[in-house]
Amino acid sequence: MINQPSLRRLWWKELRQLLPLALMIPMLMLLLLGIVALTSINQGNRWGQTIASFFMGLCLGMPCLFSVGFGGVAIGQEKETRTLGWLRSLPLAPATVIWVKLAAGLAILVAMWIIAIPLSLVASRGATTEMPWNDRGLATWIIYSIYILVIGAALAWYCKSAVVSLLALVPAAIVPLFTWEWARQWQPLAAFASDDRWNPWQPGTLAAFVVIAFGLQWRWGRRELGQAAASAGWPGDPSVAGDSARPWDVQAGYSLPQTATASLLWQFAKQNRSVLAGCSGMLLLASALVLVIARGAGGGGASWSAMFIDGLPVLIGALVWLATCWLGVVVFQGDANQQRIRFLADRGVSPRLTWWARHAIALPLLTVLWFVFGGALASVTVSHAGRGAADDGWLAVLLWGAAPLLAYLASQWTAQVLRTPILAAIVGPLAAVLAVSYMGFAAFLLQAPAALLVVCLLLPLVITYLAMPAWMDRRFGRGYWGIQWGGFCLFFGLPAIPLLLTWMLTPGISREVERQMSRWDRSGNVNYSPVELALGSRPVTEMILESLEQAWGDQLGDGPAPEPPTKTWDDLQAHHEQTVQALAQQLRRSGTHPVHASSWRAIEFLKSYAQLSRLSISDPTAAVAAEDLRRYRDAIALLSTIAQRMRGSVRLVEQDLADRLEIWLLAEMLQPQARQTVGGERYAKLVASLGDWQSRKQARQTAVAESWRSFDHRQSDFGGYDKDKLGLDQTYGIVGRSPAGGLRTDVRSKRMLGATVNDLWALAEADPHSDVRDSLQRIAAAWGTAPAYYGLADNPAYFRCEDASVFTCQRIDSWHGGAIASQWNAGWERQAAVLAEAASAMKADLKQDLEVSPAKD
Amino acid sequence: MSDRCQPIVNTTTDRPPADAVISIHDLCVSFPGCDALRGVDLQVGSGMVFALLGENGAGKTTLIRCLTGFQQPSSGNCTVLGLDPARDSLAIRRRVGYVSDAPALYDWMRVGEIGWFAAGFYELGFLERYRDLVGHYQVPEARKIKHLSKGQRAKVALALALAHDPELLILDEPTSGLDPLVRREFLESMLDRVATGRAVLLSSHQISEVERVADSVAILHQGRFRISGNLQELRADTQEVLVSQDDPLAALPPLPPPAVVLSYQGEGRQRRFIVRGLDQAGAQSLRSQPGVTEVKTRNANLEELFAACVRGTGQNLHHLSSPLPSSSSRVQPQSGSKRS
Amino acid sequence: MFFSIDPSNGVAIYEQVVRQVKFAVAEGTLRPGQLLPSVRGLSGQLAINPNTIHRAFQQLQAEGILLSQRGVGLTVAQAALPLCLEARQQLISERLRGVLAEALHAGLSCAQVADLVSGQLAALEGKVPTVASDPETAATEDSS
Repeated sequence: MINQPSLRRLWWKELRQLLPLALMIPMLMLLLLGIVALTSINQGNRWGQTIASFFMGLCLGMPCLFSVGFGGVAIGQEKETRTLGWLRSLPLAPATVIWVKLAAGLAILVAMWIIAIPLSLVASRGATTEMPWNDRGLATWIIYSIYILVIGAALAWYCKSAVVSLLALVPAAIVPLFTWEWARQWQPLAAFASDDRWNPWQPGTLAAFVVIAFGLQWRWGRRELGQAAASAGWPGDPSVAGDSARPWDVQAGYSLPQTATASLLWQFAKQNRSVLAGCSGMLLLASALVLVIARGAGGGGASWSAMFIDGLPVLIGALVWLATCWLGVVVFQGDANQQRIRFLADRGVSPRLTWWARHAIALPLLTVLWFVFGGALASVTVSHAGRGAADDGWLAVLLWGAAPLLAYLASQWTAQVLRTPILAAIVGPLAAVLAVSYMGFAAFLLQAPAALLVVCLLLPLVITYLAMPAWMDRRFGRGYWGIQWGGFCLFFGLPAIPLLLTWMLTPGISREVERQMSRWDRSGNVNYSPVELALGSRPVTEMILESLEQAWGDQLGDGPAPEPPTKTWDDLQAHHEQTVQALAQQLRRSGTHPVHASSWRAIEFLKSYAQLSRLSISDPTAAVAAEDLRRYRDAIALLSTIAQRMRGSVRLVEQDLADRLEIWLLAEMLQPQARQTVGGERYAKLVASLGDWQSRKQARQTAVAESWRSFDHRQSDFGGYDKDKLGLDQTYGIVGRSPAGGLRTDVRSKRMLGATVNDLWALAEADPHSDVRDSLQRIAAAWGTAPAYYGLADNPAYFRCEDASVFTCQRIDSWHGGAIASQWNAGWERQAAVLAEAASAMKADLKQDLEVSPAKD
Repeated sequence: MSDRCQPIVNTTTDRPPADAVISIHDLCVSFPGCDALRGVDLQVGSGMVFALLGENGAGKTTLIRCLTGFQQPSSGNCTVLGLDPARDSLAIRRRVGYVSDAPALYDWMRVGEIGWFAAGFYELGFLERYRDLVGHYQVPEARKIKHLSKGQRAKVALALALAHDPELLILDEPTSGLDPLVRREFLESMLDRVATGRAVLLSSHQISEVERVADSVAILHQGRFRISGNLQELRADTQEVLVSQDDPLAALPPLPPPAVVLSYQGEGRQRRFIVRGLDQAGAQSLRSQPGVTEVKTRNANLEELFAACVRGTGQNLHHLSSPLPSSSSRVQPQSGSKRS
Repeated sequence: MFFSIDPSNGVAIYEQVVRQVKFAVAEGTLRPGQLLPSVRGLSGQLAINPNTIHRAFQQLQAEGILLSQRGVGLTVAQAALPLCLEARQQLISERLRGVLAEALHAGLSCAQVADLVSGQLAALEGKVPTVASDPETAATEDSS
């Protein structure tokens, strides 16, 4: 009977042995979680969701990964280091050894699940896309991981080496699924197996497999730890007579001399043939399964269950991934096993040559197998596994070329760093996932340029090449670890360099301007509640701007589409007048609230209305000139009110709109007989307000300050302008303006906008007669438009305009083709000032102008 | 093998460095927590066997690893075959044959296969010599290495090391745990190399073997050479002296120079010294001491010399020999408790 | 001929080789004109450093017991026999001296020692075959 202390110590030894495996997997998981967290900084983007779903799958697979490695680490390694023999020599019952090992593994598995479940919940908050593993249920995964643990232990007892047991685990793990599928095909069992209760994905059925696995591992463990059977001596050991009867060289043809390279290639291939064959088999099996999916989806041939078809992509992905990574792992671990590399090191074989020879076999094999697999995929016409993810050419190259290469390279790097084969076989695939996801993160979010990414892709290769001499000599000193850690830092740091450079070097808003803006008096503009002038006949509500889409085009509320006009001329006139009255009423009722930019339709209507009226005033044949005069005056009055109310807005877009409205008004006031047409008093007031430079300047400054403040807080729009339409003329990263936004683009756009705000503020503060050309040029450059300065002269007859279509206003955002603040400090303001001065000089005369019949001049 | 008497080159250790196969000067290797080598000087010429003796952990393997470039020394320099191990370690390893006590072999290869595989890295002629050797050692060529016994594995490792006719053969405790016949094979191969003018560096615990085959011997203890020189001279110079006294408590005066006491044991009326450099006059003066009844001297063998070097340093032996200016090949008495 | 070397008996190895060659010549195992094994072969057979053997042969050559012939090797000189006989006698007398000194040291008187000697001689007379191959297997120690 075992006494307690020795049992405790056995426990301690088993747990301690499993510790490296148990620690490394969560560590890598946390690193991956860090990357996921960074990607979800851009909220609501579709990459974040996909990655979060993927990560959730990985969390569920993490305990399974531990289960896969358990058998090799706890049992296979002990066999290879012969400590199992020593364990047998102790006064321990074999049963104790077996169950303590298994219990230790189960204990750590439980701990892994305790870690994995909260992690997957964290990830599931961002995961909305449906993945095949999401809806299986947690219980299934837990039991599946237990099954893998136990069957892995059984195979480790049975097989001679840890690597072989790992390879054998792959088919053993998918046995439950396949047996059920084939049972369904077999007629006598078909009806029985179709019943969903016998589905292997149900916890109950899987538990049955677990019980079988328990029995197997018990039996094989007892056999391993018991007496060696007499027949199990040296299998295949020929007798001495047999030795001389088979001259080995004649049989094998080895008498020809070889070069060093050929020797190394032969040695690597022959030594690791089981692993190479196993990986090839896995990739070929994956290709076959892809074809199965194609046939199953097409409905022809055997009728696979939908769940089988659904689960197959997971299986295929796992097979392909493991095979690729294990090919990378075998490059170095094939030699690290039992220190075989010392043979070559002692004889002074060139480390470079050894390195080349290893890769010269593994890499071409990988390429050929991936071509086969890619061919199988290409022949699948029905997209069943989200093949539509590869929309553009870049993504296709990434997924099918760079990702397996990176997985291979990351695995071989891991295999060089880690000492034991089993640990490398488990950690390698995980490290490959980490590497590939980081590269994806770097490509899409850090927006690293292609050249840098290629360098990072090839970095693991360079690192292992440089570290090879020290690795072969087993000189793990400062030089070796310096190379490894340096490579690690480079791999993660290089793609971040462009972001850092952008962050450090792009100039943003200056502190001085920020300080001035923050001190700017904002009283009276705290609550921005604009009003929209509606042309329809529905009540107006005061609305707060909520989203980007509301800034342009659409009206703030839903309204019935205006009916096409079917009325006659007389009715149309009356309809127009009614509309004008309605607009006037809306303006009256809304107090002093600023008018929203989406009122541009109303403004255009009023402008046309006024112009028509003015033209018919000057027409000598018009009969009802007095009516037209009244209409004109009403329209002008309304428009000047709207202009003033727009000035009160805190958004730059309304300031710009107000500019354009005032330019139009100025043009009207410059018409001949304007004074008489509008009416003396009204004319004086209007001209005075047009020439009021000070208040316009103040309104603009307020708008700049508030726009920047709200952008700083919400980052959705800048003063009403869509920030994504900001004219950033450079693209970054290999996918250009990525749909996810990209951190670098974000940083740069914010900085550029800040620099633009510097100029805007200077422009808004500037003296009326100062030269603002530099600021305007910079603003136009940042906005992506060409500045045009014609017309900016002392002669007040010219306005500044960029685009003729600005004045036709066919589409509201066509005038957005001009840069922000393009009409500030322009010639029209000077002309308006001149006009205002002239008007005030003639104040006395104006009072005398009453109702005039203009047509009689 | 020719029956002609081959002329042997100079066998002493004080030879000009230009001809030296191994030349080490003031080599120091220190690891965090321990100093493995603390200033070692060594010259090995061709056509001789140089034996390194020392306890486990004395630094023998570290020294050998420095020679083959596996270990970087903290200070000092060493030259092997005229090359610097720090820069040309690969070239050195190709020209040197190295057999360690647990040779790394590919278990899955057959005996013939591994020779064929290794032949790819050397010049032509390797495979024929290897097969000759393996046949001479009677190791079956078609058997896998994992099925060989320990002695057969060692023979295969030796054959691999000898087949490219290296100018220097380094053996690091190659026969530990092997049966006497295999050890004999190793000795014969070693001597064959010497007879053809090659050099052999042997690190071993089998003192009886070392006594037979070594030209020069160095005893490494705590990172330094306690004694190094030609074996015959050393043995001729070292004597075990048994002194019987009347009075067990009487003290003996220090021995006159140039005698140096290496170790001292006393029990009852008898005292036992291991002394170097005791001449007739010294022995006579000892006999003429009052209270001394008998003095017997005989030449010490290598095992006693080794034990004296390694254990004797723990004693305070100042009072037993006259103080002399220290040199590198003399024992430096360490402070410690005096043994009664 | 077969040598037997004991490295740890106090006598230098080359000296043992020298003595055994001399004794072999004296006993007639090695005849004048007989070829000696090569240094290389002897070192392999005895597992002894060839330099040591070479030194022994050099000494034997210097003493005139061995002769170096070009193209043939080392042979026993014609005049070697008397030299070796003399050497053997000298060695035996040394041994005898050692035994006698030990006896005297133990406290026996000369007369007692002489009695012991004559007694032993009487017991052995006629029973020891002459020219027997009696190699030096016992330790030939300088001190007893």
